[in-house]
Amino acid sequence: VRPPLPPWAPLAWFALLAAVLSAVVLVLAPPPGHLDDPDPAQQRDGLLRSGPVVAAELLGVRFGSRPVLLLFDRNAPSAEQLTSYVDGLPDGSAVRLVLPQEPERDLPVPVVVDAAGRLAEAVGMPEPVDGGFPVGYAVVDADRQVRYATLDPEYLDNVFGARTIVGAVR
Amino acid sequence: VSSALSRDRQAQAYRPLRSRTLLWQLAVVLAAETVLYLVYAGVDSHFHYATHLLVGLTALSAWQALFLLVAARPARFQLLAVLGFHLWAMWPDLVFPLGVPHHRWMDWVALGHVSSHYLPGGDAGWLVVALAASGAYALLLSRWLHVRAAEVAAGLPPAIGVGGAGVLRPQRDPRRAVLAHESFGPVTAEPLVLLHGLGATSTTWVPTARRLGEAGHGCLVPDLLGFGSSMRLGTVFGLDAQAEAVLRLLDHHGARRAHLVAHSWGCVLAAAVAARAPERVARLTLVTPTVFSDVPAARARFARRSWLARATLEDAPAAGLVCGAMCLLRPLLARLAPRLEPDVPPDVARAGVQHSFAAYADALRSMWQDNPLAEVLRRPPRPITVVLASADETVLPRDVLDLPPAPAVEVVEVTGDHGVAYTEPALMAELIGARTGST
Repeated sequence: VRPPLPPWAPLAWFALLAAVLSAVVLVLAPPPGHLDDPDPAQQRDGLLRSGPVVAAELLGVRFGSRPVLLLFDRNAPSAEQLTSYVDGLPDGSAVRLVLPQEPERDLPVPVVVDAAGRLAEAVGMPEPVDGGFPVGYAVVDADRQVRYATLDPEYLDNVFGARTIVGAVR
Repeated sequence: VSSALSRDRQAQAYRPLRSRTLLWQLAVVLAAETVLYLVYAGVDSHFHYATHLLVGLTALSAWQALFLLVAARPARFQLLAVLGFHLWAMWPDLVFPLGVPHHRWMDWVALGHVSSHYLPGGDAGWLVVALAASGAYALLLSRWLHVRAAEVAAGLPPAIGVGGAGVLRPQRDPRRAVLAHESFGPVTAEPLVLLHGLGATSTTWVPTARRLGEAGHGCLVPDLLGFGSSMRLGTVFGLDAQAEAVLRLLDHHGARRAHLVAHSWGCVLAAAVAARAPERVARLTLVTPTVFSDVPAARARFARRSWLARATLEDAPAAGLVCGAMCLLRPLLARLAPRLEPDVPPDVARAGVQHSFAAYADALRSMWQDNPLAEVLRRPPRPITVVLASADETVLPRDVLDLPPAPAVEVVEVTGDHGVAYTEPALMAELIGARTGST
């Protein structure tokens, strides 16, 4: 009829748990990289927002007739990467690649050169740790309202994120 | 019955803490959490993994602590629940790749899934919160184990299902302490002993005993094991344990034998005392005794009248949880009780929540399992008077009359309902006093 555990057992379990959790949080979770948001909570939080409303046309990009996915990068990805990425989006998605300088080659999506970062400012793109041009994406819906804007240095590998947001605002 | 119940309770209470149970759960949790971590890390989201794990752990610790305090035993799946609560906190991330973005309302159904990211300090903040919560639960569980081990070391079965203070303090040994009681009048070698009913305390009989005492009859009015001021006395509350406690009360006062007066379920106990030690009983006066000529019909009637009674008899876990929650809220409920039961004297209404679930459950079961009252009424070992109430809807007069009792049993029918023992103290004192010999 004795209890199956001695009274010190829960405290020993707790000590083990504290060690493991501390390791998970403090060791395994890496600090933000230079392209990440200084506050990790703000990066890829998946939350569909009711952000600012952008102008009907900005740097040649027309907003308002359908959702627009703006991809921000510092250098042009390869054509193959972009093709694969666009193939992972809902059919008919309007995609624009925003770069700080002209690409050196033709790409399968329209490119917007925005060295001054006007588009990034208009959609409220977060500023990365190094303060440079953002790498990530923003989604503007058919009512020209910004629904999502996040840094994502691995955006080409994480197409599911843009697919979900674009699919939700169509 | 009492020892079997005790064994069942122990087995049920200790099952979540068995080493084998904990080890397989640990293996499952470690494997599943590793997979989850790799999935998050694979999409560069270590941060989101840790936040939801820590939030889930915090909520789980709060739940397990509350369960231990309410049910007076550890919750099931102590370790597997870590995974369960983590999945609860993170499920919006699972449906996100399926095309469902996060919305604010998900805070309400996913342990603050959206807002939890914005705690100051981020994951370090959550680490502190989660460790504080799980540390508090570990201390509580450690204390519970220590207290149960202390009871076993004292030769008692561990108190399982004794909520409130019983979670953190050992129950006292009823072999070494006498039932809490009040005495009225000159207590001699043959006093009146007035036994209360289920979910009641000595307050049932105090006004009657006071009148009897003033008339020169010595009275002892105990709180039975697990009830009222005897709430911390004993760890099992079956009829055997209760009868022994009543006999020890007589020994304590040097009483050779007693005139047992009982109300409702207390009559079952009085019959158990008479059956166990007839030489210690001079007479029985049974007021609205819980004995039934048609047991299935009466049991169905009880079940209809009280959800808690039905759930307890069916061993539904919800019964212990509801009763345990009432234990935690006892001071508040005791204040509210007189308003909720305006027809009941305020002291009696307040006493309605002064008991542990284990005591309530054992008393309730003893009405339906091995209830000795019918046999005692058919073959009375001592003179018996039965008082029935004409408007009693708990024990219908025909429940008793159709047994039928032996011709030697005196049956008195009075106007009133099941609570006549506490609503008509003058009448009770007159009836009892007239049937009490030398006191």
